[in-house]
Amino acid sequence: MAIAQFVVNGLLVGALFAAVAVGFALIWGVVDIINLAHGEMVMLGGYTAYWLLSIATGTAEGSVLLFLATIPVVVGVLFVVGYALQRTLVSRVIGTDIFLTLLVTFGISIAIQQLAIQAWTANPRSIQVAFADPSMAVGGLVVPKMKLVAFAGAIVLTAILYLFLQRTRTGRAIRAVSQNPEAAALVGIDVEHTRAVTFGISSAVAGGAGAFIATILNIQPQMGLIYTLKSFVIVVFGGVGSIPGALTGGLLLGVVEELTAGLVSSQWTLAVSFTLLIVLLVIKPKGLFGTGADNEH
Amino acid sequence: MTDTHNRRTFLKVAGGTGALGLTGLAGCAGNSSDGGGGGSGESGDTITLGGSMSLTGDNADLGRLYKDAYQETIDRINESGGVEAGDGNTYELEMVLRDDGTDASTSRSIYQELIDREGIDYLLGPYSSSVTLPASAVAAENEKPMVEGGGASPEIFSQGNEWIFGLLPTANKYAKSYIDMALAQDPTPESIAILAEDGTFSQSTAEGARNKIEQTDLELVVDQTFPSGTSDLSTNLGRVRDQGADVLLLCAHQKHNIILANQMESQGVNVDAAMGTVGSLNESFKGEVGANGDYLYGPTSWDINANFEDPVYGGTQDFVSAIEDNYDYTPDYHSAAGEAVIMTFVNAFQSVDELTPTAVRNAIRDSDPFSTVYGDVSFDDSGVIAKNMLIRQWQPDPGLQTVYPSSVAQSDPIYPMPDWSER
Repeated sequence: MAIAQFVVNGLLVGALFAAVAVGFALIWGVVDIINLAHGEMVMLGGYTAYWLLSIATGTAEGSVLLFLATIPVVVGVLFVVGYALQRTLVSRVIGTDIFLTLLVTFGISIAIQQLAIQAWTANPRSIQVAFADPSMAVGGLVVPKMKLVAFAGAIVLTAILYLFLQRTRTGRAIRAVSQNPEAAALVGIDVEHTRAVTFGISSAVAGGAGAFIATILNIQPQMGLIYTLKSFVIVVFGGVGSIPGALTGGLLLGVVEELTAGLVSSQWTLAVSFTLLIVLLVIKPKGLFGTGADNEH
Repeated sequence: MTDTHNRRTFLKVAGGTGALGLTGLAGCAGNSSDGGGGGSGESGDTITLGGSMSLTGDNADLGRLYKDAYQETIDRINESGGVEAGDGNTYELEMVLRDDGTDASTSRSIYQELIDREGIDYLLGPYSSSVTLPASAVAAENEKPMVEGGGASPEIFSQGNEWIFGLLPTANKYAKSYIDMALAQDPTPESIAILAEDGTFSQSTAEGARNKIEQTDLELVVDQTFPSGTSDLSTNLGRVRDQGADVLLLCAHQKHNIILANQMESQGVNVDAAMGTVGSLNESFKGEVGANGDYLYGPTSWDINANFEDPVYGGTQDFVSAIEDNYDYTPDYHSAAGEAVIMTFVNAFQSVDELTPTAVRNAIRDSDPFSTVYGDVSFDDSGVIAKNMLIRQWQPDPGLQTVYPSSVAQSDPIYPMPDWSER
């Protein structure tokens, strides 16, 4: 029973990891950038929801419906942030040395962190969502209701992104740029705009996930790095550019971390996750679903 | 045309990068210093006290309490004419306090720089045991007295370091009063759970709790250490729930207390008593967790309702009013310890014949108890203040109350805590 509880806990939190990682995978696949500021989009999403709710209620507390009403705004704000970052800074280093791209995105992450500390202090914050009974028992397992809502929200965000890429004209343009930017340009696709839209969409999904994270964990200006690292692990698990891969990788990482914390100690979660990453790189370097970074284009 | 274009592109990129760099620098500069520019530790008729503090990072909220208390006390001393030292001169005090970002190596570098480049002889300690331990080694290597109100790990005072003085009871005593209080309640608890962060201070607190538990009939049913970086305690709290622990002790800082309060509610963890060792009594903690923080306990080395005499403020209540009026929050024991840090130096300056680091160190070590807003201050041979912790509890009405020991209690503890379904 304890193991089943750990697996359920892992799946619930793993869906959020996945929602963060799909954007990271998308930027890596389409823009060919490892975005070290991706975790900061999660943080900004969390703070946007926090402040929206604070303005609405005065206390960052509210009903689940009121909280869910902030998600479209968070997604919209983070889309603009991501789009602007790509247009003003990231676009200038695309196609250059990988170290320069890493340096620029790392610089962006530090700048955003510092500005966030100045604006909001380093104090951890959380959104309080009111339920009459905050948890429910299902077959002897305890399931916090807000975690269930966050799980559903993360799955919906990921599914919307997947359908957007598969079914819309912009989505097809993004996939075309991912496969061959030169050929995409030849058929009339505005490659720069498409890359910026990709950055915006990825940031928006990460921001939406950040809002849910603010309800079940907490948010602070320096929280981004751990989500960037987790995204990296998940993308390697699932394969670059693969949304089903990122979803599976996220759920897998969540379960592995919870099982490690529950059966061994939470001190070992990162060590086990990264050991698994190394093993996977050796035995299946292209990830579970992806075609691998080298073959992506 | 191409050259012009490339040059323009280069300038745009350089400009953008420069702007980004300047933004970062602005952020850093905003965090990096306070109290102006240094100078020698004792120049003309000014004595400079220098140190590092957690002005950003996980403990920035607590670091601010020290900074404000230091500054307020120094300002008041200077406004009333300065310090009449034992060498016959009157000195103004000056403070140089730099941000260490709650990072031990940054703090170490700051202290070395303050000593080497600023010529500062008298050191204000940083916040948290993990940062204070290496900083105290710098003080010893350079033979400069350091007085600190933010490090309570016994490790700091077990190194044979004669240059460090601490105003907080050591961490191994933090949980003692809480366990004593729980054992004095009806029904008497039978089991206890410990969740401890993996930092120096929290591990010392947990070790002190384990030693205390061994002397009682309590059964230790959960004893887990978690990484400082984690923001999820749900699996460990699930263990506490499944093992049916009566009493829960969280050895950690404010961030984890916020997580504890919220996840105890969401995970349905019902215990008779729960205490967070640091940061669970702050208004900012209660502001974040709201009603989820009700009934939680926290230790303090200071009672805000006391009224100890103090030569600068008059008494404890005048200090409380000064902080509330000038900084818009209610001080806690970190603030009072910060005031006592400054007063420890002032008391030593007043009693030495010549103003040298060794003479001041000896004066601090040999001083008779003297009264501050924090209470009576004197140090044992290892440099630790002799003091027992008090226990406070967030009660729905009237709020934060001192509940143990009974000699200073404002009200009885609400024990057991009501189950979440009954709130």
